Amino acid sequence: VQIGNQERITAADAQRVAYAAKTVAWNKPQDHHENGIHPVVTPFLAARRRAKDRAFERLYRDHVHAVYRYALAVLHNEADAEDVTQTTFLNAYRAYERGERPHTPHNWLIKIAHNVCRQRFRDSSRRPREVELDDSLTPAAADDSDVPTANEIRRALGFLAFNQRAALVMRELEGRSYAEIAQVLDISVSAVETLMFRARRALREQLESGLTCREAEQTLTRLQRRDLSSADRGALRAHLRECKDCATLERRQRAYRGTLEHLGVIPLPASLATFIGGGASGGAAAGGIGLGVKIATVLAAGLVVTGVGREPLNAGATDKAVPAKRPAMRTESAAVRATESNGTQPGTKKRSSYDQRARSKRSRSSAPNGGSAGGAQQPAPTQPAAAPGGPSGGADQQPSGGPPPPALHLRVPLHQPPPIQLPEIRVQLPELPPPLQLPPPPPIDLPPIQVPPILPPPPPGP
Amino acid sequence: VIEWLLTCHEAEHALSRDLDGLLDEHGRRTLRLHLLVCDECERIAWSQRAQQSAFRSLLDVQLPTALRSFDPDTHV
Repeated sequence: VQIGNQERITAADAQRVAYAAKTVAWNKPQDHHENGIHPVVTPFLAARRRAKDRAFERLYRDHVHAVYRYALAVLHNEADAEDVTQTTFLNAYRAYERGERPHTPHNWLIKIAHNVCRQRFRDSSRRPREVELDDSLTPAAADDSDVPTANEIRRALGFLAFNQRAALVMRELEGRSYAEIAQVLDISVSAVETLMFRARRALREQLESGLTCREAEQTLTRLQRRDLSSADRGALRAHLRECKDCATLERRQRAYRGTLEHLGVIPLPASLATFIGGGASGGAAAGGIGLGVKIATVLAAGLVVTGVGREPLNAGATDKAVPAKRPAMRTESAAVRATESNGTQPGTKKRSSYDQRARSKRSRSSAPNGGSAGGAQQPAPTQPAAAPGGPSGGADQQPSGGPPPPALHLRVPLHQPPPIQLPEIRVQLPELPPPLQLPPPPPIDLPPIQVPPILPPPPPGP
Repeated sequence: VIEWLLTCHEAEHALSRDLDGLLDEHGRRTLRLHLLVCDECERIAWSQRAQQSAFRSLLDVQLPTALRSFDPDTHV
């Protein structure tokens, strides 16, 4: 049986209500209560409702503090936290009226509060952000202790992703287990573990961060050269969470880098896959011949036409096959890279104030790790191959005072290209069919054309 | 010996599990060994513990007057 306030009652209760309803006709209709329960007619239901309200009031008093604390920690705004707490208990009350009785009221209420907070977080991200005056932002008295205060924790929490701060608050503030957090957030336990790890790291980075926008831009430049320590990367991540402009700049640079990297992966044509041998198909047909074979074929054809012998071809090819300049170019580029990573160029070696602060924080660490800046080594200069018969080629590479080394004759054997045997192709054309004997076309009888007589032009007028 | 070695990333992960009391004895010894040789991770460990203790200060929250009692009729 269901009555006005949607309360389910048993059959015995229904009999009592029916008995009491006999008197309802004798009462005035304006005696009805606004919530649908007539206090005279249904004193039993009214008493039950009062008992239910008392139970909910007890639930409220037991958990309102925890719900408000959770909302305040997640939203970092007292007015929002108050609204969220009221909405949470209003939703809980409606569910309570529908007959829902949670086994663990605390978890139940926190889950409702989390959903309300998430909705509030989405709404607030669409509207302009209101920043309340925070005492922690004003320069406070210097405190030597490195333990962060409550305001610092709240402020740092405000920059974390919503799920990260929710998980962190539930774990650190309420002492919930991973399983309970997973239930509230609707994720797996292993995902909660990862979420907790990332949330703690992000919070630590926010607390230790102190980069300005200019320092962040310089750090972004170093990030492109892959020249950042983990502490610098963390400081950059923290600044990008706080500063939308720098985050936009970082996204653009990343997209630009990605575009450039895509330009480098243009697929090579099959004919350029190898120099000597055939392509991946292994055959020489269909353009799979290696580039070297093609070059040799063209050269051989040219020599056959001009009548030049084979020996000069080998000699020329041997000389050209020695890549004498290649190691020198590599050495030069490696030296440039080493100079950049060492920061010896003017304007690139600028240590930010965050680094200095971080270094002073890390004063306990005595031995330097030998960061990436010190790891680069100058490569040994390579001696280029001397040209045969040319004494001046390696003169400036020799140590002064010593006897000149004997001339180095490099003979790199050139793999002789295999002889090309073109298969004899015999094409047998099919016999042409006999010409078609078409019948002569029938004569066409055209009617005679009568041309109208040409009239003389009219005489000119007066 | 390799089983006893942790990278800094693994050590930070293990540190998070240790703060939640989810690390077994072997994992705790491995983490301690890494913290002995890595100053940066030791600093991170100290910082994480300080954060955890600082979170307790968030418990001192005064309830607003409007939330002292619940009256559904006024909220509706």
